[in-house]
Amino acid sequence: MSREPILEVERLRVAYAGRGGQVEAVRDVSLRVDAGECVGIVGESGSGKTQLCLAVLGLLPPNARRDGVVRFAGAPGDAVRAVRGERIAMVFQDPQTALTPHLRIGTQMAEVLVHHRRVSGPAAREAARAMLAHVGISDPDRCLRRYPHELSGGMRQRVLIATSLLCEPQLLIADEPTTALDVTVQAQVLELLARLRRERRMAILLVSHDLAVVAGLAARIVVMYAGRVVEEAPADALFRGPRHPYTAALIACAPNPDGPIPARMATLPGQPPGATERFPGCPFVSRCDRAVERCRREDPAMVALDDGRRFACHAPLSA
Amino acid sequence: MIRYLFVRVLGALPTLLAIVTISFFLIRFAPGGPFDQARALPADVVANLNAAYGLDRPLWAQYATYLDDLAHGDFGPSFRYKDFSVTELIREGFPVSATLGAIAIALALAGGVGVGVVAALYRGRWIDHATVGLSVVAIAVPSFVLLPALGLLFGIELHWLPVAGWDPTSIRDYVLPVVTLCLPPLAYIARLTRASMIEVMRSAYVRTAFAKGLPMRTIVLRHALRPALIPVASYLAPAVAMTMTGSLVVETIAGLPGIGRYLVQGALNRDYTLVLGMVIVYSTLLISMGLVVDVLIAVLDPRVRLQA
Amino acid sequence: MNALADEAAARAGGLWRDALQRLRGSRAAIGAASALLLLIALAILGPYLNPNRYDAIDWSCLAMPPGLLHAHWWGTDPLGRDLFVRTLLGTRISLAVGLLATLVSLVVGIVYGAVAGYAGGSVDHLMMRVIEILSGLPLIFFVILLTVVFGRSEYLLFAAIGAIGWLTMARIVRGQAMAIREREFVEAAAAAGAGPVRILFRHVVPNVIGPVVVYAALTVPQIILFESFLSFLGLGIQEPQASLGTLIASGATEMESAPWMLLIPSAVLAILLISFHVLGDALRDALDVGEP
Repeated sequence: MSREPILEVERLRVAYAGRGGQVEAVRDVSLRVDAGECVGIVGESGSGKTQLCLAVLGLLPPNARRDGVVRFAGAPGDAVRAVRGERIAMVFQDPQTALTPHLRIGTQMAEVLVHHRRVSGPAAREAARAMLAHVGISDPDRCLRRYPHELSGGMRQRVLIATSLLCEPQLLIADEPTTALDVTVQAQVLELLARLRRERRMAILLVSHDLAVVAGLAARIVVMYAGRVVEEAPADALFRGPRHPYTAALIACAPNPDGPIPARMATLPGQPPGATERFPGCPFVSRCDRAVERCRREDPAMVALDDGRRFACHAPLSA
Repeated sequence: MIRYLFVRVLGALPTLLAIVTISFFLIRFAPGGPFDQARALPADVVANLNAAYGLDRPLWAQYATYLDDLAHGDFGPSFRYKDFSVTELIREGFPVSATLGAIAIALALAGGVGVGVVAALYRGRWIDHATVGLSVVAIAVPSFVLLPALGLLFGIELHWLPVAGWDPTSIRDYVLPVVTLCLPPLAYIARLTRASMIEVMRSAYVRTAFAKGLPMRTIVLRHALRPALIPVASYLAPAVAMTMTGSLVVETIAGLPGIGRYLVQGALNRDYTLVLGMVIVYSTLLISMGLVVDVLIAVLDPRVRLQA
Repeated sequence: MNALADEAAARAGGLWRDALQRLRGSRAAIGAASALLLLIALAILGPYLNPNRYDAIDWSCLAMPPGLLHAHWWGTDPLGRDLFVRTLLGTRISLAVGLLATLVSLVVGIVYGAVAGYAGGSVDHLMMRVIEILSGLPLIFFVILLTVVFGRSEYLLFAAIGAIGWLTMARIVRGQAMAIREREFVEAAAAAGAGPVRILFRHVVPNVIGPVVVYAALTVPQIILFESFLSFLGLGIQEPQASLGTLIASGATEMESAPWMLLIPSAVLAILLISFHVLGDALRDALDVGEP
């Protein structure tokens, strides 16, 4: 697989001016996604994953402040905004609310093509029908005439995915695409994403709080904690030997489908620090069982290894 | 839909009957009668008048007669406007009031929605602050202050517009009354639209629309505006009520020959049939507005089912 | 259960403290509150600052324009009555009507709404139907009829106006009560054996205070406006007493010869109403309550 980058994020920061000072939702995040590659982002809720996605697409609310560089397929800065919805698409977390309630599915899908590709209404509808069939909707004609509330959650998520694929984007950002769905539907949607990546050579940035969801699809996994990247590694290497204690804890908490059912599920005690809290040390220190004195004083810098792995920890687990 | 409308209209009839009944007996409990005047009429004249209008019969019999007339579309004779029936008074005055009210509501809707949307999209900028500030003023300043003040400014000082008097062919006579009537509902609608638009622009589906790369115009007009109008639609009935109340004052001050003045005059004069006629006209209007609102909300939001 | 209830109470306390802080930060709110306090103080004390009586006729000064060099600071009407005293007394009456009628509508609305929302089921359904029917009626016309029927008693005016204001209040309280009923501390109280009446007044009512305060702050100006409207139509306060509405009504007839008769009470009424509205809006933002 060629290693041409399709998305590069450098030192991205997202901050909100709050009453109690600045709230930093994303701190100094860098990452890259190559063409045709699936990268997973994992972290607890509130770790800044969604803010990162919105910042990449330039969809942050007006009161947010963004610093850093987002480059899409070599084009700098605001070029992302120009290709948004066309070469770079996004699927959101909650299919219940992500569709406009008063517009028929056909209208909501066709308008993307009409706007970006300047095709006629009927042609756009025909393309939408084909795409619905492609994502596994059995009666696409009927579906086009429905309103969102007349569809099931899984159907709606398929519609959203189909909509995002209409312009054949080079990158799909999927923020928790399965969280709101039943387990059986979850598997179908993930299988659909895997198939689309293979067939269309489309890069996917898959965001989830659930390591198991990301594990099946992503070749590379980025672990986020308290708004920053704490570890990044190829998926299999990450599972075999996590270096950051937080990654290790995440893996321990996730049920292993192949292993024996543990007598007691591992849990990670405590909560991540609030986004307004200021501290000199590592954000994970209060929950870390490997913490040493230095962790309290000094925020660990990112260590890059030559096998494509990196982590930020003073007391990493051994490889 | 037809069935729904039919059931709703049918359902409104008992309500209307209750209103008529309550009003009928309420106004009869008021002391005095229609033939009281500054210089008391001789007792036998009053007795004759009462007999002529059937006021000497038992109350329930009068009530029955009134309902019977009503069922035949007859509001009865006016006691004070001697040569007119209430039906004639309404037929002459209603078009004036209705025109005035309809223009005012239409302007309030168009203006309020426009201003509210702009304020929401430019939230926190000067145009938003101006909208919020001015809307408070427009809501708080009563029509009976506004109209004389506007009259003082444009009529007496600047001589641009007539202050009072009525020439049905002249559109200039409508300007000040319409402005006065439409400002408070316009301000309310602007505030409602602004609040709901801000809410909708934050919603997940508008975010999806942005993620699709659609232009702002499409997002606002196609995705955001319709849901944002739902609170405005619910406000239409109160807006009509507000305009009716306003018209009582505005028509009196501007000397317009509408029906606004009849309610208060009728009540003070104990012109029983006139008061009842007014109550019926206004109640019918308000009840139908309720129906219009429900249908409108179902049109705006496909999730709402009309169920009778 | 106590811990939960305490926590809820503490949260409510914090909410109010936060709200107060936010209010202090709002220049509009500070301005409105100052204007209101000043007007209230003037309405209470003002008439004693001037030697004129509200119904005394000064034959030497008929329709005198305002000025600080003579005894009638805000001028007189064509009958020679002092407008400073009359306007401030009118303000006092308008304020009294507004506050008392709001109180009436508050009490009725809270009790009705809390009962409906907390009872739920068919009781709620029936009670809401009643509100629905009532709010479809031209209630303002009923008040007009009522004032005609029962004469011009000021107390009746309070009651009648208050009686039309409670519908929205009841709706708000019902919605809140329904939401709160499902919350854990109320369930905990019920589990601990507290009776419905006790739960209603100990737990539900305190928790609807926020929206109710906001709505009340916005109801007072509406009622003042409505009272002045009735007075303007000749159905409210009667001569020689004055409310802002009657003063404006008589001012409107002398618009050309004595514009101050219109402008002064109009300005006072406008300031009063705008201050209440601004304060209500600021409260709504501070307490984070939506549009009713």
